[in-house]
Amino acid sequence: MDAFRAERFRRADAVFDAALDLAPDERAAFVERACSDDMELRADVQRLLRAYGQSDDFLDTSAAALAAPLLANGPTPGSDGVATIPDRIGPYRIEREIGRGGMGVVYLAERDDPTFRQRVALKVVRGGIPDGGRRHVARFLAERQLLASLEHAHIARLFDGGVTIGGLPYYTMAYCEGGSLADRLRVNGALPVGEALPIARQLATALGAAHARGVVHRDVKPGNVLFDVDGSVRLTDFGIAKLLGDDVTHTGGVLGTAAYLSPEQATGETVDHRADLWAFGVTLYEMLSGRRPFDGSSYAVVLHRIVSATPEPLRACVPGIAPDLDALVMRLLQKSPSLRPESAEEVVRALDAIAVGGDARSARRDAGHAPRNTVKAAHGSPDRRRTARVIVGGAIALLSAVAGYVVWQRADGSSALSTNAPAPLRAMAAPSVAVLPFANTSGAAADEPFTDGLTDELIGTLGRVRGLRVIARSSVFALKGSHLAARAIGDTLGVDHVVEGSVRRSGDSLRVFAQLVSVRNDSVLWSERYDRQLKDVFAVQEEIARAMAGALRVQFALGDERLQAVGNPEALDLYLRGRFALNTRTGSADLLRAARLFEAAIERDSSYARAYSGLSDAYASMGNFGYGRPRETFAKARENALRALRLDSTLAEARTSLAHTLCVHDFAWDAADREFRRAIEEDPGYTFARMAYGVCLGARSRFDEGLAQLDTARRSDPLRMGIGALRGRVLVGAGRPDEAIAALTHALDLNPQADLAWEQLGEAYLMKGQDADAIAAFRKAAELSGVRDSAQLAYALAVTGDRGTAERIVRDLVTSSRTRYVPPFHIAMAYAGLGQVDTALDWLEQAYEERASFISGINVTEAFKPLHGNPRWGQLVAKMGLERRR
Amino acid sequence: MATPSRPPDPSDNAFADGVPPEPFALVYDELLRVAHRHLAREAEGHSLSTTALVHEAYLRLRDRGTSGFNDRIHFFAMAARAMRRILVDHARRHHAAKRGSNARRVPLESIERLGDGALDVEERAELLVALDEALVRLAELDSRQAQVVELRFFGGLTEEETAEALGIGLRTAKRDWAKARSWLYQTLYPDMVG
Repeated sequence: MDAFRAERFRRADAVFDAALDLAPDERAAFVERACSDDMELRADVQRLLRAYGQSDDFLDTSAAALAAPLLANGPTPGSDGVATIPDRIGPYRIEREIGRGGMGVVYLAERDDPTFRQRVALKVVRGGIPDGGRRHVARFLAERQLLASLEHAHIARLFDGGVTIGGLPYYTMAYCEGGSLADRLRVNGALPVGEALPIARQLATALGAAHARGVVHRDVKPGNVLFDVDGSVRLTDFGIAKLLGDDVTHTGGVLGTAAYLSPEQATGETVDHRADLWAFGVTLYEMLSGRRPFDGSSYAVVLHRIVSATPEPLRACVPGIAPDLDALVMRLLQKSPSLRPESAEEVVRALDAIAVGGDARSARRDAGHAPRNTVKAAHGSPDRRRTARVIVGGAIALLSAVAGYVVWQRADGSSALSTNAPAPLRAMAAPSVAVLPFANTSGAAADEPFTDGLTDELIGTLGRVRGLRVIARSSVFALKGSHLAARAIGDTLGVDHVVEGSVRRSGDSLRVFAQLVSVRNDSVLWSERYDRQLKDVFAVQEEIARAMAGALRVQFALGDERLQAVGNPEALDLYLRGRFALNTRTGSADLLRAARLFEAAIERDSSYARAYSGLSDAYASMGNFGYGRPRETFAKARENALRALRLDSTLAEARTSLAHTLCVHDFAWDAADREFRRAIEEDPGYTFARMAYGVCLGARSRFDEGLAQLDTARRSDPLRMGIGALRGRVLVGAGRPDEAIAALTHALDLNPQADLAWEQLGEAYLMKGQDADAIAAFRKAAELSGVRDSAQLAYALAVTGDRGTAERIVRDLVTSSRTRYVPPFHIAMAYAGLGQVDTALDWLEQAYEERASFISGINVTEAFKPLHGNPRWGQLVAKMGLERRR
Repeated sequence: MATPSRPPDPSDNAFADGVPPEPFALVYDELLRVAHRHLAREAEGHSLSTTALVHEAYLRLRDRGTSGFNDRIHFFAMAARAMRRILVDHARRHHAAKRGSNARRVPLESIERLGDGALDVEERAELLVALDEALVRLAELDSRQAQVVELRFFGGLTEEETAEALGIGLRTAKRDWAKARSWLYQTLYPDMVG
């Protein structure tokens, strides 16, 4: 047991214990004194005190009840929707469940306290939120104070909150016995106007009160409009949506139905109180007509309509409705927030006017401007400022209406240009698109490879479309799991459009949803859902690509040979899982597993070209990383690449694999050249081809060409790791250390774990004579690759004067090479650094025989300069088909 | 047969003074039986009370004349340990079965129809396993605090019974309970506490 830890605990415990003896408001000062300048101790104690403050309910319940479903062997709760109702949550005894929704379950509960009885509605936020909900819980606790202070006749008071034993947030509020508006609408359909208007008015006053306190509800909907026993409105769940993170994504949100979301919420824009007014408008529409203005068969379709569709006018579904009421609702449902009523107060006034059947003109004036208003002095308006804005806004709106655009002023004064039409074509380069990782909505993690595979395929298909710039796979997948809005993604990747979608696979059937979103104005240009059989997956993918290309007005011309039916779904499945494992690539185990999966796919379909290609890649990777004997693994890589190409000569990845093998194993430079070029021509978006080709060119001292390839790779795959490190390597080989240092430093900023980049950085520093920096970099590289002393480090130490340590390291490595594999290339470097030319050449020749890693770069490795005069060097280089450098 | 004169220390897996595990096995089995009996009665076990289970197990074992225990309190202490093993064993079995699957994603259509209120089975299993592991670590740092947690949470003992079982004052028992829960809470939910 770590004595250190025990001591640390003991000290913190002692101070914590003493602090608990004091009154709460004395504790902080005491801790300061007791810990004086021991920051660690202070932090420990403060953490414990914070935990003390939050852990009232923690473990204060029955362990057996918690574990009951685990003990029982029957169907587990939740799998069929049947819940386990807890008996207690915190200080509350649970009576029964009274409702459930997107965010969680609501119980009727009673406070279990003899001195203070209280009947409450207790809502528990559901689990299963991606990060375990901890982030949400923390925000919830921080916000509770503000929400608890909202006092209004039509706002349901938030009493209390806490965290259940499972770490889920819950809160309690006054129990409203009259049910919810959603219940009423479900039972009655539309409400008569005389009933709807008072409800609406009360709701509006509640919103006004909250907005005045700076609180935006964000989730106004009939389900949150409750009624007291006397029928008066109580708006509930204030701000909860915000606390829970408002994780609205285009492929399915956490918050349940999308129908009440405002356009700005749907597109991830900034949201203010006017989003509540929108939702209020939707609710009012529904109250009056019994229908929702924006509805659809799926979450994404509803979002699409919210953002771009015009709802059916109320007067069409509610004949005889007062024109001003119709107009009010339509104004509330303006896509642009500035065209909606400015505040809840205005809405209240408008409602009053309607109720009175009052002056139509005054209602219009009070509810805010409409585009059709011409410049007109508003008589009797008490607020001159508002009047002025109405006039100005009206005029501009009028002019803009002519131009086909709508200009508005944002609340902060900045103005933005927006359009309801598709974005005007800019004079620019080819339209660009990023296919974001499709979401796997089947619920089974086993389908993840399939979903990723589909995304891959789509990227590949679109990548072959002329005139379209498509972002490559690795950059897109670097963003997987992030909840960035379309615009942020567009900026990060430098594209104008994103494709998003979801895939659900169930047995042999397939449901794919996809949509194309313009980043610039956040509009959905195209969306569609496909219900197909699994065997049609490639046909679906082509349909999607075709439709998208059409929407982007780009000529889509694919040859027929692309349309491959899936011969064997099992094989496809294995292949995709193999790709998935290969992409994970965290070690030899993954590569072996990938290889086995590809072999299994081949077993089921012996003419499955992609599977051979995958297998080739797996072996090539093994060769690169030095797993197994390079001669063997590269031979297998080549063999499988050739098989793949025989079956499908257009497979760029197979050709790249072949080219790479020709380069590092056969040293057949011209052939490698040809194959690389052909692969790149076949699939210009296949980044890896350019990366491998770039390094290959560098090895042959064709530095500028190599760099050009890497630069192109970087443009089409801006987030791909490794490109920077390779650029650095080529620059080092070219004897351009300053540029190398810049490139490598940048690459290391993005990926500090790249040991190869550190090594190259060390080489660059050596070139510049910055010895200390060089040693540090080599040490870092060694550390990251899991050793303390590497041969590369020995080399660096040798050439910077510390021969003694260098010799020791090399001796140790050579000794250990009897029992385990030690890369000969780097040992050779170390000996070269020590000036032992013949020994260095011995090791180099061995490296050549083995086709060991890095041997292909022998000619551009600085360490071997001292060997260039030696005849053995000349012979080796000649054998490798390289030119002897002067 | 000899019986231990103190409650089992949470940090030892075998009984140090050579007591055969038979009493423990008896308690373990009986608790499990009682638990299943209760579960059969009310299918969802939402009112399963640890204290009630332990008491019932005690009565049944006492009535069968199986006395390997000095007294009630001593039994309860052993039951607490047994209960902990039972629950954590089940949790680990469930957790192991589920390992490899990611967080469940909710299919689009059933978003309205979300399952359980508080925690689903996976979450319960995870929590118990995490709690058990944290408790083991706590036992290394302060064995008495860990014992208090075991007795109170897994054994369902009251504060008084806990104090008696450990031979400490009531105030100390309360304090230990508060401190232990704080430490466990910050260990299991570090993000909450900062």
